[in-house]
Amino acid sequence: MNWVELLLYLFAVAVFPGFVFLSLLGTFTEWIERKVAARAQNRMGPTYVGPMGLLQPIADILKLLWAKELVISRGFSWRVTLFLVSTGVMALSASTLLMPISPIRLSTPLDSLVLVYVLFYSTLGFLAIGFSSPSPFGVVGSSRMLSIVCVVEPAAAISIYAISAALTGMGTASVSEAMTAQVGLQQSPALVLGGVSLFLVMMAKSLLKPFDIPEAETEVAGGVVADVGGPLLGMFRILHDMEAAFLALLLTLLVLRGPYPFSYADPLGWVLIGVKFVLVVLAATTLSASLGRLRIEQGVALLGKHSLLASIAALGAAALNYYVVA
Amino acid sequence: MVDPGTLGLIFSVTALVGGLILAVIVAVTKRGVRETEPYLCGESEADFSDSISPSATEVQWGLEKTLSSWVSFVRTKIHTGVIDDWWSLMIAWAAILLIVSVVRGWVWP
Repeated sequence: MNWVELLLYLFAVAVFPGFVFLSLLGTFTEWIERKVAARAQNRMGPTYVGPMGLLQPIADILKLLWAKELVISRGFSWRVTLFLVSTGVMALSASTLLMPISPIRLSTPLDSLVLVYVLFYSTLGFLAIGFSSPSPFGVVGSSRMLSIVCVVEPAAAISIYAISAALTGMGTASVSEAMTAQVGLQQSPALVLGGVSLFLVMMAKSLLKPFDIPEAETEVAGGVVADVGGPLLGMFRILHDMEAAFLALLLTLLVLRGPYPFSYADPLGWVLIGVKFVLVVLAATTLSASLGRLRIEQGVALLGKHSLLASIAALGAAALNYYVVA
Repeated sequence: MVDPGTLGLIFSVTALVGGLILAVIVAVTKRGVRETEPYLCGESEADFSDSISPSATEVQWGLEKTLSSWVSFVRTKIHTGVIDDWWSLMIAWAAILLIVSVVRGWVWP
């Protein structure tokens, strides 16, 4: 790797499609989520900052980042937690380099498993906030999240591997190659089943409505960020928004085939990526706004029944296509 | 083209080093603290600590507190805010005055 490649790599991680781009996309995702939830509840949603309140999530996050942490109780190692949350943010930024929209692409066989590994950094950041907090409410939130993680992470891993394996072969399973691979009719069962599983994984990992019991800001019994404020809460919001945007983007590029029927070289293809991304977020938020919050054991059961089973079925379909049909 | 182990290593190093840099930037950024006057429910709370003598309002409050049984009788029976109650009081009072004046006319003509 020479200097030009290193600079290009740093640019991609820090600006496009890494930290700056992904965090802006994340605030846009949050704006859609808040607007849809507001319309469903006969409210207006954000209107104050920017046209149609488009900059409101950015203003909220900046206000938190600039606020001073005034009350820090003993036993709360908030700097370590801040580091873990920032690690999650940068891990998400780095893993955008697997996507075809990046100017520099890192592609390798079995990079789907690398993506699964890197995605766990952000989960670790979420868990760290609650578990490091001296408050029992935060610990309750994190242990709820841990229960969800036990189902969601296997489902995410299996569905990402299954889709990649269906499109590029069982031994290769490259998620980066799969985003630009040709899809035939025999691969579509794995794609559809994996897509359903990945959609539920996205809703659970983005803490959208039926699965938002770990966050549960209106519950009496607390959530992950029950006793967190200031810069740490701001970083939590950034991580939360970036994870939602990343998973929606992954779903757009991997399952909805990105710019298809155009190509990445075509400007219309990029417009289509934007449209598909908004459609994915709209579908998730509309579903979220029309559903009530599930209790933790109900959420785990639902994810196990629909997301985990769908991902295992997708893996079976991919294996069947690879070993029997092809 | 790299192998998966190297790719994982690249991403881990990026996440850890980048995360450290980001955390340090967020942690060491100087922050202004907004100081506000004491307030209750968004209204500023008045400060009585430098007033020398109690005001008329406060004296009235003290009086009402001391004579609370009498004040409550007046408020529940006479000054209820209902105009009929006021008329009944005035007519009764006029009747008493009438009786007093008639009796006085009989005794000392």
